Amino acid sequence: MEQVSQALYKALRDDSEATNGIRALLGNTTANPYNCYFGSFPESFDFSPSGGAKGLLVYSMVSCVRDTEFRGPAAMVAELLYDVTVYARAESTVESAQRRVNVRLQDKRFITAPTSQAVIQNVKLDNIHAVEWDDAWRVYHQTATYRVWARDDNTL
Amino acid sequence: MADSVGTMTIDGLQPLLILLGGLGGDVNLALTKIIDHAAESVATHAKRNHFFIGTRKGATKRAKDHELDFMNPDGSLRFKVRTGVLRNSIQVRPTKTNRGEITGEVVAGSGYAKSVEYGRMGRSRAFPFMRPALEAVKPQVIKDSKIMLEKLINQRRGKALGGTS
Repeated sequence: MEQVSQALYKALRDDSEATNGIRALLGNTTANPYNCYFGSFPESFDFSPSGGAKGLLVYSMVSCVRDTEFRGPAAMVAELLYDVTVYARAESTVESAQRRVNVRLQDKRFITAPTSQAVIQNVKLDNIHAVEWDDAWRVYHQTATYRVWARDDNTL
Repeated sequence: MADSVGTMTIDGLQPLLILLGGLGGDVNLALTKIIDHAAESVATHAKRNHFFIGTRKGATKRAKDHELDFMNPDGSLRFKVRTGVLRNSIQVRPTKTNRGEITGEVVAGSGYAKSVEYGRMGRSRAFPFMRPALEAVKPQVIKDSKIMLEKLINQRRGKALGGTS
């Protein structure tokens, strides 16, 4: 499912819209980095206003099971869950970034097809949590879970 | 209140319940059994398939150095068991019936369960164990429920037919 994760990364880093996209909301308007991470958190991160009030987006694969409802010929479709968590000092930034993530992922609107061997059939929002405050890092965060139906001939 | 990580809802039961009610079966008892079975399946899967248990000398260090290497065939990671507190805290709560709704709950009572499931700044990453378990057992539980209900309907139907002949 590596191809699928990469396709989601491209949609989430939102590099086509440098001034008002997700990365702009996360504090980077001109160049890399996108502040978008797969799986792991960066070792240290400065959320403070003096550090530019930057935010962070972390997405990770939660589970991958074969879709038993799909009865297509010769194709094996997997049903995957992905968590997308946004961290930022301002609550409004977290909410705006999650809305933006939803616009890009829901119904695979801004996701390009990975390769001919890997096809994303659909993406739907499964659930979204309330915004929470992390006292240790002094940052707001919110997690949304997306359900992805995909076919990946490389691994399945 | 505990945070919910996922739910499994069985829709379209209304016509079936009417049918079962008409046949005189103890519908609630049958459905409670199904929910019990579902909750047990999720808890067992979460305990067995999403943790890595290293027991030999140096296992903790090995786990720390290779924490991204212990994974399931689908690519999801296994969280290293060091004390067993989290794994042992995964428990099934008694099934509740309230106004026609039957609810089963699987809880991870450990204080850091949520941080492991979702990941947090300061931890290396998320190691989901509850939601993958729910997703993995869902198709089988639905299949088992169908078999159990069919069995019950056939039993009741047989009795009803026997009574009228």
